[in-house]
Amino acid sequence: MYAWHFTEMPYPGHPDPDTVPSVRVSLPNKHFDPKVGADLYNRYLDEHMVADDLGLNCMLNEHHQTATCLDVAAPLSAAILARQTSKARICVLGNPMSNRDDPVRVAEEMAMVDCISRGRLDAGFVRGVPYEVFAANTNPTQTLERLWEGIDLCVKAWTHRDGCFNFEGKFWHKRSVNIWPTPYQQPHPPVWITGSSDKENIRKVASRGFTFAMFLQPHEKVREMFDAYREASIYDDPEEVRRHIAYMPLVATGENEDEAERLAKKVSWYLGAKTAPQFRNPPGYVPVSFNVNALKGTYSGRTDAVRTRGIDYLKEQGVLMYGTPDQLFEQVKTFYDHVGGFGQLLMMQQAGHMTHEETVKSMTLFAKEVYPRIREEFAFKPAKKGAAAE
Amino acid sequence: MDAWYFTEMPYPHLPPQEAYESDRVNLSNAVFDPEIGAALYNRYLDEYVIADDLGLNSMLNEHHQTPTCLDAAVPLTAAILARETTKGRILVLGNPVANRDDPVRIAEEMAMVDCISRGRLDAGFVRGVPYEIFGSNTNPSQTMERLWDGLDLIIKAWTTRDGPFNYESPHWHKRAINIWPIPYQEPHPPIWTTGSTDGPNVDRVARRGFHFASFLQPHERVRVLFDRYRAAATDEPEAATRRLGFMPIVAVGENEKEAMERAAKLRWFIQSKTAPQFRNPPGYVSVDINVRALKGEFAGRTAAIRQEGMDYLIEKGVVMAGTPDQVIAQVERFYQRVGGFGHLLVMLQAGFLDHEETVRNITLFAKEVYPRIRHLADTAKDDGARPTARTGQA
Repeated sequence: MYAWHFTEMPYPGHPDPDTVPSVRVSLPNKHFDPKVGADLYNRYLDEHMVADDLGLNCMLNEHHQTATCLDVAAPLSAAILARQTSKARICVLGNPMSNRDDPVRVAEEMAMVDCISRGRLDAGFVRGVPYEVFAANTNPTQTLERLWEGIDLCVKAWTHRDGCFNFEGKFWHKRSVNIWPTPYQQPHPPVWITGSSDKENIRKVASRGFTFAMFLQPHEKVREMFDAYREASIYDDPEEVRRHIAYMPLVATGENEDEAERLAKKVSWYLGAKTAPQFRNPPGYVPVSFNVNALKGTYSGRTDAVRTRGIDYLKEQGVLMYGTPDQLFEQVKTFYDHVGGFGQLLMMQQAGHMTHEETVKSMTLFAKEVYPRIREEFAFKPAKKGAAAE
Repeated sequence: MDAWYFTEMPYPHLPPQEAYESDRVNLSNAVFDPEIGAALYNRYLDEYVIADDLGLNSMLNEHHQTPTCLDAAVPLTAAILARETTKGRILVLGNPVANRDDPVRIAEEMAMVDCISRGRLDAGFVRGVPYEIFGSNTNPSQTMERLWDGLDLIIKAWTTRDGPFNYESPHWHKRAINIWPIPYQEPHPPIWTTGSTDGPNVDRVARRGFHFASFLQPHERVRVLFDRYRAAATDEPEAATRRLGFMPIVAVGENEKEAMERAAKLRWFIQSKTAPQFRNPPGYVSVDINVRALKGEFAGRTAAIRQEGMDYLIEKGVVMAGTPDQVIAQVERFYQRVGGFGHLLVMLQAGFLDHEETVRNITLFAKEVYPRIRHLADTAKDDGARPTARTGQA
């Protein structure tokens, strides 16, 4: 199993959440102080460099118009890490393909990062979260279709080697595409995609051989989705299947239980970030059947529970893993058993008001005391004969 | 006078030029070896860091589908320099707004670079060169409109502070825009744009108070453009002059022989070829300019720059080459001929000029030439007028 350091690069100095309707989309940017922001960017990038030194991989994402995530252009931070880290793989998870207007540019950006890092890029693509539909002014009923069409165009641009090609899709019409540079990795960097409840989409991810990732979901739900992925995977070797499955919890490692609990409360800041109701479920973003189920109460309380039920509940569900190194190891193992195994542990080790010192201490403890045991316990066995190549 | 180090990040390891139709657009990327490309990217970035150490500013650009320029996404390299340089300003010249589909994303990218660099960004915007119409599939008759429409949207995104705004224009329809982060500099980074023949566009740039730069043009042409800018600017000619930039190819040597060998290598850049069908897509320039071209007004100019010898290029100011004293004299002569300018954008690397030679070229320019041309334009005078960091720290 591989572990990845992650922070959403929050700007936690925004006004008291109780005094504003939303920290996303509409919180006026006058609350952003560029001096504070400049320090935060550089600090978070420094922490990724520390993670690289410690032997962890780096994961980056992007969001827009929100105080929870200052990384509004993940290709930029990925380019920086391509130069400033030396060992880690760099996973962009992901490029919001549906809300980006030009998949060929995304292909160029990722190819550049892959070259600069000498083949250390994992390239993720996402449809974009519901609240981002507003400022992107995209059609929420089409974002999933756009995601897949954009990936097809991007992969074609990465792999086409005989001059110019044309592309006629539903959303994109391109002529004479022949990108320079091409990616460093051949035929192209590993592709990752996220999901939470859409099984049809998960089967599509599996059938393409892409890595599937889930973030901050209770273990029963994760099990259900991972099972769907495993059933549809193109890989014959179960180890290859496992290698392509990723999960992200919040992670806080402490020298003792008190320290871990204090950090766990701090890192849970992320779950409390508030989105005004009108930005949560734009019409058409999820299928009608989902909205029917939601109205019937199928999902009622799950999101609220994650937001409000406290860190013991979160720990039990595997949304938050915290404790001493021994306890953390046990929690990863328990979660692993609950969900039927996975291969990539994406760890949100920084959020909210966690300071630089706290973050470095927690990630160092994890990297030195927990990660070696995880790597050994869940080591990938050599691929069996006849397994599909990556 | 401010100087800005520049390389277009070429990939010069190509088949013989007779063996293919065009360097641009359709030269198959099968020619690109990622192993060599990776080494080149990292080498060029190292050279920028060295230029910064030596007191030069950095200029970056982007082009697409061409081995003459591996920087296909300039916000990425600007972000890297924002982290890896410490003193110099970073000029992106420029973002091809007309061919980028979302100006708000450009506003976000530039704001991020400005924050990471703590206010060292100069943000340039261009319409994109003619051959880029093909890969981007944009309408050549609309790129100028799109450039200005996009620029208005970017500035509005950078400067609106009180919550979401909507934007309705011929090319972009946006809702609920409220970007995080905003730029470090208040109200926004200095804006640059480029031009070569379009007079009315120069007037527009001047009236908005943006910086204007011209690349690799003969001094007579540059004079016309710079005079037009000064005439249209709303402030004093002396102040307007300080917003003007020019880019020559520059080769400095310990002696003339070394300099001329270096210049011959750098000339690779102007000898790259673009197939005829990619040079002037219908509608890219105005009917008037095409009429003048057919009447022969521009005849031979581009061909001359490609074919004439080094003496011609040096006389025109397109190349500045020689010992430090000779280069200083050439900068001074060009300065006089064009009526003055504030920013010398120096292409000190191109083609097969290797790392050692490039570093030598940068070092000689930075140590022997730059200190002795700084007095030409008192750009320091503009420090107060520049957008400044809102905390008062420049």
